[in-house]
Amino acid sequence: MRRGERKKRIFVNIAAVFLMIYIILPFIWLFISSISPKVELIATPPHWIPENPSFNNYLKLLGLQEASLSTGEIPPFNTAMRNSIVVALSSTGLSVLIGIFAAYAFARLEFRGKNAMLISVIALRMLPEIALVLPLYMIMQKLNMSDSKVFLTLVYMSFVLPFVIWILRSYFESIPVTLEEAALIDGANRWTIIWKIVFPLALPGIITTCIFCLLTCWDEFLFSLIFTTSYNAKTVTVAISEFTTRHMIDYGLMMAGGMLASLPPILFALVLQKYVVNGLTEGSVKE
Amino acid sequence: MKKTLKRTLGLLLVLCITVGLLAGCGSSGGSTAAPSGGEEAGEEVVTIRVMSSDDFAGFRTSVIAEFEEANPGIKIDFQSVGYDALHQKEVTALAAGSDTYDIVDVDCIWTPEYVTNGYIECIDDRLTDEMKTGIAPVAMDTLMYEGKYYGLPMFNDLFFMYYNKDILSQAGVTDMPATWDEFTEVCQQMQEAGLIDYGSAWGWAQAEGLICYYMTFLKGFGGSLTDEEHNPTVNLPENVAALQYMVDSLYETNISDPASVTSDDRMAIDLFSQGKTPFVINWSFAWSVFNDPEQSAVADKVGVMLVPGTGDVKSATCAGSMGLSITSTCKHKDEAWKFIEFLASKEIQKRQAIEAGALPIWEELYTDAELIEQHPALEAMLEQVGYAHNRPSLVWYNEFSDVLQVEIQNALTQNKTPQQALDDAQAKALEIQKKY
Amino acid sequence: MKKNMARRGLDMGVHPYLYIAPALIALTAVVLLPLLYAFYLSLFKTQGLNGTFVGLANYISILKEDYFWESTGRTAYFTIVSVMLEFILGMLVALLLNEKFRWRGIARAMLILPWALPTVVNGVLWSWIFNSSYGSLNGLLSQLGLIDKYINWLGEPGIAMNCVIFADVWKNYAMIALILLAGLQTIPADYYEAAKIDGANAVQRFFGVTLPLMKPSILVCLVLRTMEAFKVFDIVYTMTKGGPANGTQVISYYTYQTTFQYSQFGTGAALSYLVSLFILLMAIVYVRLITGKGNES
Repeated sequence: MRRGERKKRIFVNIAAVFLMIYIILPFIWLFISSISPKVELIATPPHWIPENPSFNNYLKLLGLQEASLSTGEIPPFNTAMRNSIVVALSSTGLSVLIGIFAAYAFARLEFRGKNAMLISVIALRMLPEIALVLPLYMIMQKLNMSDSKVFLTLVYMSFVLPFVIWILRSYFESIPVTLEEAALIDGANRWTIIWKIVFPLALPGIITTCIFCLLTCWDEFLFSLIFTTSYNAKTVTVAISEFTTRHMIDYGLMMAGGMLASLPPILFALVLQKYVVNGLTEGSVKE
Repeated sequence: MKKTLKRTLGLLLVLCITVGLLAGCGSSGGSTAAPSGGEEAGEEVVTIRVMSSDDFAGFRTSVIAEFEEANPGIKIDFQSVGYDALHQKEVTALAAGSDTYDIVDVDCIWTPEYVTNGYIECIDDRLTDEMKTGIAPVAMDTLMYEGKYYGLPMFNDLFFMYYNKDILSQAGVTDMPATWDEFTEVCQQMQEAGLIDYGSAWGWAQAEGLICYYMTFLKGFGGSLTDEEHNPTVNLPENVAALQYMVDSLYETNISDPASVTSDDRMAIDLFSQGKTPFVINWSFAWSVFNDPEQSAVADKVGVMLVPGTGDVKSATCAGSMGLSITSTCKHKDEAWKFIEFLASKEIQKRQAIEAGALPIWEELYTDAELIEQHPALEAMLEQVGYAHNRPSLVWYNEFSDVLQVEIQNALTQNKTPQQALDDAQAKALEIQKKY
Repeated sequence: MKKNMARRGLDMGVHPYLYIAPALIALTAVVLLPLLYAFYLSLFKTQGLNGTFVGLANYISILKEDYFWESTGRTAYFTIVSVMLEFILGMLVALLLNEKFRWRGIARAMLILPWALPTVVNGVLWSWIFNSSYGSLNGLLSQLGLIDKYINWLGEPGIAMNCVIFADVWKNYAMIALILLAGLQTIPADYYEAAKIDGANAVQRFFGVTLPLMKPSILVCLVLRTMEAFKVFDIVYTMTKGGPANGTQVISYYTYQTTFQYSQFGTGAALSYLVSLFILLMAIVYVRLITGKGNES
């Protein structure tokens, strides 16, 4: 028995080491490539550890160092990052604001057509982006809103809002009704109940929802690819994909861009880890 | 705990909404200013929105300031994307009937499509006599369809064969290969001598560049993609032979870098610019990339030679000029034309040749002493112009090209034999032709 | 009394609609109307700025198209293989991280990394690793003496798709692992003790205790991933753009190409409807599964 335990512990430790390597190795390579000068990047065999590491790629991307004219224009990465932040924040903010009330109604109130509406909201969540991109494009042209962050913010709601309603509804349902009933009997109105009782109890859920929405918006690619033409609204995911279409492919620069684009969501998710795990289980298991 | 959470959340939401509002104001301000210029302002400034390919975007951006200074009433809003994304960006906007762009960058193969669909304006009555007689006809044809002109070419571009002088002299090669067979021999000889891994890298990824390379071989082997009535003739024996040569170069003679299958024409120059291959076929912009020490290890070591041929064909290459056109939705056509005229002017064309390496559109510049001095490859490049072929001019070219790309790749990855691949391509081409 | 009336008024009738009205208006504007508009568009054959009404002809011609079925097949392959691998890997990792070991906290936190990595960055990163001339995978394999010639990973139709799947799995198993791990933690330890006393070994305990108890969360995990995988676009766009020889042309990419490359808006709209239909069918099947299993227990 003891021997079995020991064997198992050794096995678990070895497996854990392998898992960590599997996770971290590509990240390390991402970082190493981003600080390798071009000559070392294309060396055969590869320089696993760069001899002359430099942060020039980062400086170039952040506009702190001039790039040579002939390399072609480096996309204004700061602007793309700013666009991503703005669009993700405003889309999430708007959706959560609107979604809280809808989710509450779905969880607590009775009204006609509730089930049908709820099912349609869930169905909307499943809808592929590709199904919406063309009609939204035509609408965008008619409204003369091409290349604008406002339009991106609004269309991002098409996938953020159903998610908010879905996940918050299950959070609200997990809060015991008795508290609200007691307050109702005491003569409190719905607004007071929502604000004073439900809201504080559902806070962790709301935070989780915000995290998920922000990350989904940050990750979004197709809408931004089609609906933007310039760095007036282009987001960071599109900026990165464009590195590959410019005629001189600078992998170091591309990797540096990848690092910069990954840092905000990764740090965010690491710091708020507890909520992420909560959200994953709540959002997927509770139906 | 609860309290702090609540406060954090409140802050977060407030932050989200303020940022959102700010963004809203910022960008709506920007987008209202852009469309038709300041109507309320006393001095009317017209904004012309240009969508351009990346290739010469650096140069174009650098001369905009001059243009705006000379024309105080016009502001240029210049945007550029990579070539492979360009057609999609333009066509989506144009087909939706929006006035997103005033000027679009048009590749020669898109002209029939753009004209037939009414996307771009005929400029016959804007052409000056000087333009009609002075601009090289092969360049002018870029934006010509059924006898009418729809814009001005911005450069006269074709595929050139660049070679690395150092490697060839080390190998003792004095006679440049004149046929594709000789090309294979020379490459193999250098490979055996251990000078190089591969003779050349190509841009054979599934993209338009692949068709340009295929055209180059196919014309060199005496083939053709369409007959005189614009019917597809994809599986002619000459075409099959050309494709066979490409496939063999990957798997039999091993003179081509296997990575060619995943590189586009822009990536193909990478190995050459690192001094790892002796030959590469590419557009004229590559010349300035090769001679820029910052991104190339072969600066001042590059020559231009005639693309090889076979038998009766001395040389053949694929043309690929692009030009600027006014969109039919443009509200300020005169101002837009001014900008196009400016970029096409002799002075700017000459500077573009010197600074960015593009062949100018004006024939008289080909003998310009200063230009020849500054651009040592000009003479060799001009010789190649005589052997340039355009890709077929078809309304259904884009779909045709995509089918062809897939089938050629099927052959290049040994999924199908060249004969099989081109037979399939021919069958699909006939189907597409019927649709239009 | 008055108060009571008011409350009833608040709870029933008009008031609940006020709560959901903003959300409904927003969703109508950004989802419902566009969907209807897309259906309208799908009834036209578009050529440039002109459209002619053709009824359902676009749908019929798509269904006759080889490319459509080929890309559907490829999407199915991608979906099945990637979800299967993600599930197996996710389950193993979840079981592992449920054991006690020294750096368990760190290992669990690390699982967040691939999950939070933007998909586009994942695509770019792996296309660099798989790069045929300078990629680290080729470098590593040849240094280890496993290959003598660099392999063009993304250049061969058969291999390229599997490379894309590999990249996709590397990122997306993490979500499954996180969900399953949370599920494992809710299983009371005495269940295992009881099974042990009954003489069940580890494998039997897994199939006898763990799996049945986790069924609901496993199924929901699979639903989500399957539907996500069927929509795959970003990673294909960044890694292969549908090539080589259409070897990775999945249905979303095919739709994108038809719509925005050939500007055949009518056909594109019809295609997007068919894709949605596939996903809807899957959703129904899975919802049935979940509710069915839920009733059993």
